[in-house]
Amino acid sequence: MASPTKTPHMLDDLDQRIISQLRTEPRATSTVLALQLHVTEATITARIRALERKGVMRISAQRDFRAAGFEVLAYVDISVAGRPVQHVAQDLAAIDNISIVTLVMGDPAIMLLAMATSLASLQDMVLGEIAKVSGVRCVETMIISEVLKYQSEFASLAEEDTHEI
Amino acid sequence: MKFDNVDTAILDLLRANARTSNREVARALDISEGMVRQRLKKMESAKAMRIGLVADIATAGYHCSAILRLRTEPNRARDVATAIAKLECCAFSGLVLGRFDVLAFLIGQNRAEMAELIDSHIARLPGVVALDIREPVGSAKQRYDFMCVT
Repeated sequence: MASPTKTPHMLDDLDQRIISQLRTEPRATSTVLALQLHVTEATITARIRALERKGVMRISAQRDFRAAGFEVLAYVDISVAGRPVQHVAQDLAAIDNISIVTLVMGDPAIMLLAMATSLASLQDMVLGEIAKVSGVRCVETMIISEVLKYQSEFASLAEEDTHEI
Repeated sequence: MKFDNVDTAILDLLRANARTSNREVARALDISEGMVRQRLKKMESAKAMRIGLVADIATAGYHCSAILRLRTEPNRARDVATAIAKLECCAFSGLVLGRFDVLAFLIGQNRAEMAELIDSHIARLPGVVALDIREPVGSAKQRYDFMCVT
């Protein structure tokens, strides 16, 4: 589980320049990057692999949720009782169409972003899968009727399990 | 556009590492390299897909974030959500049906700066009636491969 108090990795100048290049040309080949940054291809490959392994960055194909068939987005507040919040959060994270599980200060302690293909399937998720998770005491759903901005340029990558995504 | 099975399969392969070559994707899915290239081009020009760098939030220098929920005067929700969406520190802004009218997600470098921005700018936007701030302390899941091109 990712926590913002973990010490961030130190990046040297070459790492920063690689990241900068990849922001503009994410699929630039190692050959091209090596030429641009005046290092060997092997260095580029090794540096990129290290940055990915350490969870500093990912090059990701991101998809518009509407093109993926999701018509309804909802934010769901979850109050927890009888079990540690982290365990409840992990069980909720295992539910397929829940795309974000955030632990927050105070109560309700968990906030989710759920994606559904219809109101009916959102209802199934909230009344069915979410309600069944042990430790879920109280659920409040807010339907997002229109998205004006939704960027995913930053994430807690550093402690991500590979199966989480 | 809506993705079909082939589009989805290609995206699934590229979501954790989009530097995987078209040739490798083609081989994994048993389709031609040309088809992979064509599908990616189609998705990109339809603005249904974007290949980009996702950075670790803390390493990038962002040490705090806030989930904002706002109640607004009737008919002012869109203005408020639009104004918040224009902020560079805003990663998400949307209209909501429920106890709140607008939901937004902000990231910032430190709490003091973020508190100042919320208090001096966002809370005073015309039409804002009430503001609720929740502060993330951890993440159990983040599908960073979902977004919206608006």
